[in-house]
Amino acid sequence: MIQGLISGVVWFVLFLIVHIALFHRKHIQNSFPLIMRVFLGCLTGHAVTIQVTRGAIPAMYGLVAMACLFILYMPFYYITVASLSIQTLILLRDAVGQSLRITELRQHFASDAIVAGRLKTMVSNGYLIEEQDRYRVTSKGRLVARSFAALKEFWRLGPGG
Amino acid sequence: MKAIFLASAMCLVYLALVTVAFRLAASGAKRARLMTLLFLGTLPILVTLHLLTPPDLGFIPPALVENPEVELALLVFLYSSSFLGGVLQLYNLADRGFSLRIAIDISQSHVDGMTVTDVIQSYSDGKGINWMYQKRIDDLVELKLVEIEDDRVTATPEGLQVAARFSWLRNFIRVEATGPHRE
Repeated sequence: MIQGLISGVVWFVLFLIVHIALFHRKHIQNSFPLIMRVFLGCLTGHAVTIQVTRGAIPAMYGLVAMACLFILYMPFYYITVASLSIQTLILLRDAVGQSLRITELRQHFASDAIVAGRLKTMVSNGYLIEEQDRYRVTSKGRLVARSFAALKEFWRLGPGG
Repeated sequence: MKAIFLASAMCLVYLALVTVAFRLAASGAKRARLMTLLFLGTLPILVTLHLLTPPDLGFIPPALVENPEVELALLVFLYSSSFLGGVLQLYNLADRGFSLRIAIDISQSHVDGMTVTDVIQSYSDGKGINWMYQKRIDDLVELKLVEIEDDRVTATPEGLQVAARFSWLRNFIRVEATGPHRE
């Protein structure tokens, strides 16, 4: 078990190093597919390492450890790169007197450009299609939207967003 | 193996408790706090269960029975990961996800597709995009990371510290000024 866990942790650290090194090497617009490819590569590396040296059971423990580390890491990653609240704080820090009018902040973070950019990203990820400046959900987008709408309803979260 | 079984079972119990709490009482910002309290309340129960039950739980093959101390550490790690990276993130995404809300708005709209202007106006069941951003500002005020006076938003010393740390992280992983977009 311990060998499996250690291998899982080592391969996860390798995953962190490789994906950050790739981000340093070239600009990547849509980072998630690359992160997933690197992670799956490291999962395979761990499975092969343990299969060769110890067998299937220690490998399973390492896979569980890697999966847990991954689900802990990804929210942290997305908060760092995409949170509007974090970007607001950074913009304020760089502003004169660390202060801005609310209207100036809205121009940055609640603007047409922000929404248009987000829609383009959703198109590139296959959730929406664009035709003549109108956006429609794809079957993949509809499945995600319906699933989460059902969860929001089940948990009584309200519209949110 | 015992850790995996116990953590999985407690996750199901935790999900049931969260669902009951959400449906009966909690609203708004209290939900995340309630989820954390429920997690902290169930964690000692889980540890007690681990200490009181046999290493094989009555059905695990001997080859899969491990050192109890290592199993306990793995149990706490698995359950904490399931909460912090799983259920709490599922809630955050469902309640605050920007792209997700847009996808729901478009999929539930009665018109054939939406323009950027439609999305801005109809965001979150018609509340609009300014409401979304105001919600973020209100949260930052509540966390004492910013202050508002005469329509000006000013970062507090704590807010500047958070900004400095994340700014360093964003530079380290080479994020653009506006950042990649979250799905």
